[in-house]
Amino acid sequence: MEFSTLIWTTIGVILTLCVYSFLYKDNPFYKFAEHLVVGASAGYYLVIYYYNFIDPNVVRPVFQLEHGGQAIALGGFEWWMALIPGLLGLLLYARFFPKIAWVGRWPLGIYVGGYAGLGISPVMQARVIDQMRAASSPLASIVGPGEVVDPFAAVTNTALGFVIFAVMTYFLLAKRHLGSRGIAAMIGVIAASAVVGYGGYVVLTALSAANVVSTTSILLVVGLLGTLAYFFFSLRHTGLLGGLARIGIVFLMVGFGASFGYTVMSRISLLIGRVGFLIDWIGMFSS
Amino acid sequence: MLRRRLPLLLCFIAGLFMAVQYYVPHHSVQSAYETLLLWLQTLLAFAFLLGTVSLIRVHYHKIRNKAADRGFSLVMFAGLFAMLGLGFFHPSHHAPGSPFNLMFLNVQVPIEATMFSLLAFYVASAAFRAFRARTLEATLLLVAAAIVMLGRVPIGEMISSTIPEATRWILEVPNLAAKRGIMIGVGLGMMATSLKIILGIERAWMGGGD
Repeated sequence: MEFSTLIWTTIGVILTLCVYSFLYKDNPFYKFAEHLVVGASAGYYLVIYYYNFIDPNVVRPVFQLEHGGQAIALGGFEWWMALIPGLLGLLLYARFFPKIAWVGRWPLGIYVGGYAGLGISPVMQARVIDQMRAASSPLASIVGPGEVVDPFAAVTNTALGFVIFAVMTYFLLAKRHLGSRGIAAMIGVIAASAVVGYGGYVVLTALSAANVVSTTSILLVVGLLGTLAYFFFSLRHTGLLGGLARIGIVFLMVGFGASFGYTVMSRISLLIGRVGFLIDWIGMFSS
Repeated sequence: MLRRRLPLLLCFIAGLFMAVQYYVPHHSVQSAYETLLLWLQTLLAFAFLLGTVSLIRVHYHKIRNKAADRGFSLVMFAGLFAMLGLGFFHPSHHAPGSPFNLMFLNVQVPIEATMFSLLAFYVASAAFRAFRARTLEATLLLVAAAIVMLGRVPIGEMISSTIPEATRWILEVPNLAAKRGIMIGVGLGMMATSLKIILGIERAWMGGGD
């Protein structure tokens, strides 16, 4: 192992420990690492942006008369096309001089407007049209015998059977108070709900197996409509819209829970990576 | 005119051109699009430099005013100028194994990765305090999070093979439906905001003053 590798890795280890010291409380070691990364990041991206954008698009064409590996003429069209963004970029710094700060709005106008216009079509395509197209999958499966089109049919049907059971139990116990007549009545209500829920599961499974209907597709459409209904504030959430919005909340909560779980696991994965890094560093001394 | 109307006009022209060029496949329009895109990228780089200048000003004033934590401002300057020096004055700054690259890999990457991994502790702690199955919605959130967390580690599979399957189902059915709805809403919102900016209805980017 090279000595320089050991030195660089040790620097990484020290900085990692500095950041972890924050778990105890805010302290100078953490602040040291924090300020160092702010400066290093700014410097790093400045270098990258300079060599990727400013140097090839402005500096080389304007001062070295070279663009994309080809020579260009001083005062020619390409030279001006390189000079203008450079001048516009410099105008951004007018904000440091209060009397002419308004000049900085010119490049900002081009920048903000340009990227706003650039985004409209891709956003419409990727976030709206493609999502609606994906949601428009057939509700009934049209396939040959033996083909599986709904890989989630079993779980979906189980979940729907459980939902039927839970809704019926809640309705009979909380709304109709049928369980208040004694323990036997309560057990009867739960048993009846379980039978109906299981019956629903059996029927849905039979329908899925016969490719009559794709319960997962239906669930996706209902979830999408419910979510959209929840975020539709132009009408009061009563009646059908209120019911759909209520279903939407259920889907949103499951979605937020899933996102939360996913995020936690990704952070844990990073944590494992950092601990592995520290263990590897200790291993460097034994090898 | 020059102070308020010209920036709005430039915003309108640039926005309209960038929005329309997708539908005009003529080579002259595409050439103009490529030029304008290079301008925008160049402006982005200049804007980033502007941010760095602001950062330098803030920390310079801290040192000049002898603020209590001015020592850390010096650390910031050390990181910044070390990176800039290695990037601009080292002949092979972009080569793998160059000091510029090594500083990125051994200073910036470990600190950023560790900071993100710190969130594991804080998210877990916040969840422990905030997660209570008081309502149906809270219970759903709690159960979905627990299943997804269990389903993504080997212990979930060891407890029951149903857990990874349920995780996949949660992620690809109810989660997908909710995310799709949010995505459509966000997409429509982004388009509306973009149109408001191009048409000059949204002017917050111009700041205050004349």
